[in-house]
Amino acid sequence: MRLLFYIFFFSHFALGAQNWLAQDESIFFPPQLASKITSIRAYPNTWWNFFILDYSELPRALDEASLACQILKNNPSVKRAECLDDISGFRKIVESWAVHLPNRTTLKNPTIELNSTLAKLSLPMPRDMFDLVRRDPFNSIQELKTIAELRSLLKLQRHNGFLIDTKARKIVIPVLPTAPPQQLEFVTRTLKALNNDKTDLIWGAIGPHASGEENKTQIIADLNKVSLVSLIGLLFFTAIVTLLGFRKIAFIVPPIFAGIFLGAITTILFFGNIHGLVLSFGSAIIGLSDDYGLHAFFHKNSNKGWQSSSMGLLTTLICLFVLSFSEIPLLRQLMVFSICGFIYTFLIFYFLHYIFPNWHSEKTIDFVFPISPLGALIPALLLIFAAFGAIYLRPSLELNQFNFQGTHTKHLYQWFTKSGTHSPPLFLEDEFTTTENIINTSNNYCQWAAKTHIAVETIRNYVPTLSGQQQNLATWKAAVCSPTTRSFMKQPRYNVFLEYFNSISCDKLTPIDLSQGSIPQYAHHLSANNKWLTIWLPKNNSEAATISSSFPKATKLGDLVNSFPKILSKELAVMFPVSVALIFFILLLYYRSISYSLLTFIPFLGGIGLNSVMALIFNFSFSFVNVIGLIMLLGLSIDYGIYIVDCFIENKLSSSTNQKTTENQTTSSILFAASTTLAGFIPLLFCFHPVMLQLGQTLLFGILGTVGTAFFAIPLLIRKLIK
Amino acid sequence: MLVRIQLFILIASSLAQASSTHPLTKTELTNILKLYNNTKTLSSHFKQVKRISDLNVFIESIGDLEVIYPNTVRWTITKPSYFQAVIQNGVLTLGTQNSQAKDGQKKEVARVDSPSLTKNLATLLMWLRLDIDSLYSSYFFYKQQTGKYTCTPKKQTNDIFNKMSFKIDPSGFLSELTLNEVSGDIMEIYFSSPNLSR
Repeated sequence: MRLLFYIFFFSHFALGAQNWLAQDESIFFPPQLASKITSIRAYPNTWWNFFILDYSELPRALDEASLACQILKNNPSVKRAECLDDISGFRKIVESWAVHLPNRTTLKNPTIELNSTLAKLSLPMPRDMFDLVRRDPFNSIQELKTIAELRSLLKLQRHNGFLIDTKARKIVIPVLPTAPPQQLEFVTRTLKALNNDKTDLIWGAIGPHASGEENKTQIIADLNKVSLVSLIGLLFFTAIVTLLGFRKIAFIVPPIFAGIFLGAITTILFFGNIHGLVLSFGSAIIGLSDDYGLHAFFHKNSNKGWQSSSMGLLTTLICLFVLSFSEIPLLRQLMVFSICGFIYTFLIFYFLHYIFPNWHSEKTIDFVFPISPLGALIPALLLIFAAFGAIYLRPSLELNQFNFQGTHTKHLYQWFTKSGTHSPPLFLEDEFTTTENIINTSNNYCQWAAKTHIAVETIRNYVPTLSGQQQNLATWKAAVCSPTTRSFMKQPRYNVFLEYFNSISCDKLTPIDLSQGSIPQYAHHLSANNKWLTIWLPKNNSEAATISSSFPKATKLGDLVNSFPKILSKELAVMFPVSVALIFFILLLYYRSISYSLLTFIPFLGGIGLNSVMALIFNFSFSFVNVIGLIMLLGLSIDYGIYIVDCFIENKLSSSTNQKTTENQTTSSILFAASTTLAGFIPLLFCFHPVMLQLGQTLLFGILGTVGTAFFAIPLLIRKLIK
Repeated sequence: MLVRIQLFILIASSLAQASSTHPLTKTELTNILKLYNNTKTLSSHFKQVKRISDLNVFIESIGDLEVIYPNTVRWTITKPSYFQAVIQNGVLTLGTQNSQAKDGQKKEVARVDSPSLTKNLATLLMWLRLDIDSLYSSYFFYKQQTGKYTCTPKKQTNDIFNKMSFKIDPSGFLSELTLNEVSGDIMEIYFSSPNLSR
């Protein structure tokens, strides 16, 4: 049954974006942090991807790279591909840079530069290059190239129009897409076209777009696999249930779907939309409410059964309610959705119980709780391991654990990191007030950078201070604006530069305006949403620390993104104990016994214990997904605990025949609930994407540990208590 | 009357074309450029006029050509400003005179990674080397008048030049080379004071 939920809650990946379905990642972060991340990601500088060719023979690779360069340049999703010397992508940048030359430098002896450019123009060159050179007669492009080379993140040399690492046999084409990763997909299909039927030349890609698409492709591939395994599992499960005579159990499915549907609608009404991840994970959590349906299915006309389920629901809701106070919007929405879904499903089960009184099963599985001190050994060990796990396992909640990288991509990242000249950059934003203010602020950064010898990419590298500009412009005005002076611009041999001369005529020799709408092309990469970006480029961690201490607002994008798990772990450190304490308090009110209340937690500890053993043996990582898995586990394990404790309390008051029936009913409902959960999540173990795999692992080992401890430890202990 | 004039022009141009429809053989080309056979070095002054058709401007330059066979060509422009292009074993180096230096003592030399510029210069320099094997494999040659020849590329390539013509003076030296660019621009190069060594 949970196979169906699983297929349902992941099916949204296959759906197109809907208004009610949010997919942005801002939900991971508190609003202030989300706006900062969104703001930095709006700068095209953070959009660069790198297409990398692994080759064996350079001449063939160069032909291949030339072809790829053309394909990339013709791709409408690509704004710039840095390959060969087709300068069409840079024309506007170089032209705007050349036009502002009088703002940057004093005019000394223009004829030397102009004659040199004339000599260069006499060479046979392609027309686009010729036009670029004549529009930049003072060769200011060299200065721009120098700035770009100093800021380059790769220490590779250019040969034949490409960045090549001859030792590692790799050719790199940096590609700037036209839009950020959330709005554009182009890498996968481009790689498919480039790698068509080639064996010795392999193209790969790294970067924000490439990574996002690789993850999405892997998730879809995993989903296809899961769907197939789930379908086989579903058929197998249906066959077993039918053979055992529990066909009517299928009626549990519609109420849960209805609960998920109503929960989603309530969430959309409450938040305005529902996030894709909330729909996925939330549906999985709500799917666990089948415990109540199964318990009712096997406990015909048992008010005690509903009483136990109500307590199970209440304890689960407490856990979800406490977590709904999280600062993280994703968790808040997830918890609201889950709470609504649980309540709706429970109410539907309850009303259906009255509407269809014959739905309940007369049959149960003939299984009673084994009472053996030897059988309690394994649960005891699991409890010890749970304690060990709590002490020794340090959860690593970094978001990059969610990042799937294929073998080739991993290899490319390792090589790229080695080829890099800098540590990850630090980003610093400044609000635009006036052009003068923004240049002065940037000038302070440059002065600090010069003192500390740390590279910085900021607007001051491109635009001098206002006073500096005025000094430079004065020298040009003296040569250009005086009607009595015969300006170099009027000499016939320089007619080829007329267009450029018109662009720096007297009336145009004014300070550079950096306000919105006037930002020069060469500075576009540093401006977005009326803010200006400064990028610090530390060579190592020590330089990064120096930057952080002087400019505390300068942050690495990775640090910003990883603040999600930091906030999460901080919150969980408080919320988890609070949830457990509240649950314990409610159970205490219910049982009026500390021992019984504590017993209900034993299955959960067993689940954690088995997860700890496996994590220690197989070195599993522990991430946000594991946390979601553990929340699911807490909900269902306490339910199991309550059912078993209630079963024994009921048995204490009834005859021995009734005792066996009650035990059979309870074991049947728990075994079915555990089996459906296992059947639903085992297919995840066939996935390669870490998110799915980790969820599958946590629930598989969690449920095995939970059921094992519930069946072997609680009966043994409770019998001793009752005696 | 107008029709007759048009007919005359048509017939005359057909005859003129007929005279150049048969490309020269390799032996004929070798014979025309025999002075350049088995040469070790070649040097010459040049004057170049580049006509930019759509802008209606001329760029004039003068300088020296030096060829050291088989793989080095130096194309040094001295006016309007010092500028040197060197291709050695397929690698292009561009050099400019340092504006701070006096008497042209210091030169700024930069290795240029520009495949298209290298390709265009390589085509030009193939002409300047007068390498008969390369030229014959790349072009059809037609005789026009005494000492004047035209040529067209054998294959439609992405070369910058789509048509060339050259003139051999009575002493056997290449005296004029006209290169028609695809863009419509024309480069005319006039050579003087040639010097050969074997």
